[in-house]
Amino acid sequence: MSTDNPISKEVLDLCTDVTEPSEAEIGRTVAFRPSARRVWPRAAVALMAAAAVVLLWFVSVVQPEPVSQIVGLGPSIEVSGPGNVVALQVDAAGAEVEVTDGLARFEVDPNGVARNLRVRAGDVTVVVTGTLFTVEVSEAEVAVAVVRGSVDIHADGRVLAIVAGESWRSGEPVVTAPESGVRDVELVPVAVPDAPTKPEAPMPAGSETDVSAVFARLLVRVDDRSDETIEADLLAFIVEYPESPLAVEARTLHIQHLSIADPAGAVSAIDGLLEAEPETPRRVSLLRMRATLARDRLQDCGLALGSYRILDALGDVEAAAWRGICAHSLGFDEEAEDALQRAESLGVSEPLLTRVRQLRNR
Amino acid sequence: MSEFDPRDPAQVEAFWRRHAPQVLRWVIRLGGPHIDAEDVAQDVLVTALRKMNSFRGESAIRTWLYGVTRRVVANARRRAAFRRFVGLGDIPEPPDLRDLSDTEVERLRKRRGVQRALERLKFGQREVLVLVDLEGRSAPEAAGMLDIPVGTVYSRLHNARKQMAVALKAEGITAPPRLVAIEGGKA
Repeated sequence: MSTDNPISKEVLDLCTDVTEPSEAEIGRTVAFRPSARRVWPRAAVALMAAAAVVLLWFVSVVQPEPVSQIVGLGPSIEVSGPGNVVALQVDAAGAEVEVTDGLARFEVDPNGVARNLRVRAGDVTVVVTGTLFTVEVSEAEVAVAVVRGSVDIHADGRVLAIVAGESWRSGEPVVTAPESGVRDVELVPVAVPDAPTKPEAPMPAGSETDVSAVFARLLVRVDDRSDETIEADLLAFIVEYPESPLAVEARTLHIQHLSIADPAGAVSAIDGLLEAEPETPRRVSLLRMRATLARDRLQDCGLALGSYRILDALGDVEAAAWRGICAHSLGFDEEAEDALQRAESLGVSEPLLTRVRQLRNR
Repeated sequence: MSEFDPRDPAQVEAFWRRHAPQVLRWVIRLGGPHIDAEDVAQDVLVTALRKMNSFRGESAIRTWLYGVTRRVVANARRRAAFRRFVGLGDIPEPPDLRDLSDTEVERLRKRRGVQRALERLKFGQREVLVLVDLEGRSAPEAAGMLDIPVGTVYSRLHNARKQMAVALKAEGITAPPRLVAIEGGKA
C-alpha cells in the first residue's frame, strides 16, 4: 500500500502523532458524563439551536442594534425604532402590521410598488399610501404623528385624516404643529428582511407565509438531511424567494455547501453573488470565504489577494496579515511589507503573528 | 450489545471509557480545525448511546461507531461553517497555552497544519487517507467501514495521497530531522 505513496513514512508518522489526542484531551472527554442537558431529544436540540442561530443572526448581523421585533415589509416600507412591531399580513401590494407596544417609525416610499400600509395600534388603524409617520403605543393611549404626507386614522368608528405636521392622540382632537412639535424622530434604522411576495406559493414544508419561518425550518433540515437534499432545498428556497434578503443567506449557505466539493465553483459563485448584490450584508463574510478558498483549497494566492486587499481596506487585521503573506509569495515586496507592518502594529493574533514576524525579519 | 442499557451508569461509563479515545481521534482528523473536537466527540458518544438500540451487531461496534462519528462530524462542520458566515465565531478557543509545555504547543501548531492540509481533500478522500495511512488499517478494512468497494478505496487513496503531499508541503509539515549518533566523541 505504501510503495506509491508520495508522502514519506516519517511525515505520515508525524501526522499520526500530532493528531493523536493527548492524555489531557482524552481525560476531558472521558470525564464528561451525559447530563439532562444532553439527553434532550435531538430534534428539540436541533430546533432550538437553529432558532438560536436565526435569532442571533437577526440581532447581531442584520440589525445594528437589538430591536424587539423583526418584520418583513418589503422594499417600499422602512421600519425603525424600539417598539414591538408584528407583521399581520404582507403581500405584493403592501403590508398590515400591528404596533403592540412602544414607538415605531414608518417610512413608506410613495413611488414604491408595495406602498399600501395599514398599521394597527390597539383599537386604532392607520392607513397610509406613501408617507413618513410615527406610531406610539402605551397602556394609556395611542399617538400618531405625521412628518410627511398624510394618513387616515380609523378610530371609534370614525375616520380622521391628518397631514404632515399634525399629530393625534386617542381620545383627543387632532393637533397641528407647532404645538404638537411634530418632527421626524431619530431612531435606530432597522434593516428588515422582505416578507414573501407570493404568500400563496407552496412552501417547502407547512403552509406558513413567513419567509423567516421557512428559512428557520430550512436550517433545521440542513442539519438533519443528506448533502444532496440540502443543496436541493437551498436552491428551492432561492428560486422561491428571489427578492428576499434571506435568499442571499440561502445563496451563501449554498456556496458554503458547494465549497466542500468544488472550491473553484464556490469562488465563481461568490463572485457572481457579489456582482449581483454588491451591498449585501454578507459581503465581508463572502470575501473572507473567497479568500480562504482561493488560498487554502485552490492554493492561488493571486486569486486570494484581491479579497484580502478589500478586507484589509475595511480594517480586517487578519486580512492585512494574509495580504502581506500572499503579496510576499507573489513578489510584491512593497505591498507585502506595508501590509505585514500594519498587521503587526494592529496586533494580529497567533499563529499569524509568528508568520508575520518571520516574513518581516527575512 | 442488545442487552446494553443506556440508563445503567456502569455500562455507560464502560462504553464511554472504551470508545472516547478512538472517537476523539477520528473527530480531530476528520473534523478539521474549525470545530471543538472534544465537544463534538462527546456529541458522537451521546448520539451513539441514544441509538445503541439500533445497533444490530451485524458489523463491528467500531464500524458502527465510525458511521455515527462521520455523520455528527459532518453536521458539526456545517454548523461551524454557518457560524463563521454569520459572524458568530470562528475556530474554537485553543487551550490555555500557558499551561502547556513548548513541546506541546509546537505539537498543537503542527496539528493545525495537518488539519488544514486534510481540509484540502474531499471528505471521501480524507477519510480513506485517515483510516489507511494515519491509522494503519488495510484497504479491505477501510472499505468495510466506509461501505464502499475496495477498488474505490485504492483510487481515493491514490488521489488523496497526491493532494495531501502537496498540502503538507504548503503547510510546512516536513519530516523531523534524524538524530545521528556520532562515534568517538568530538567530530
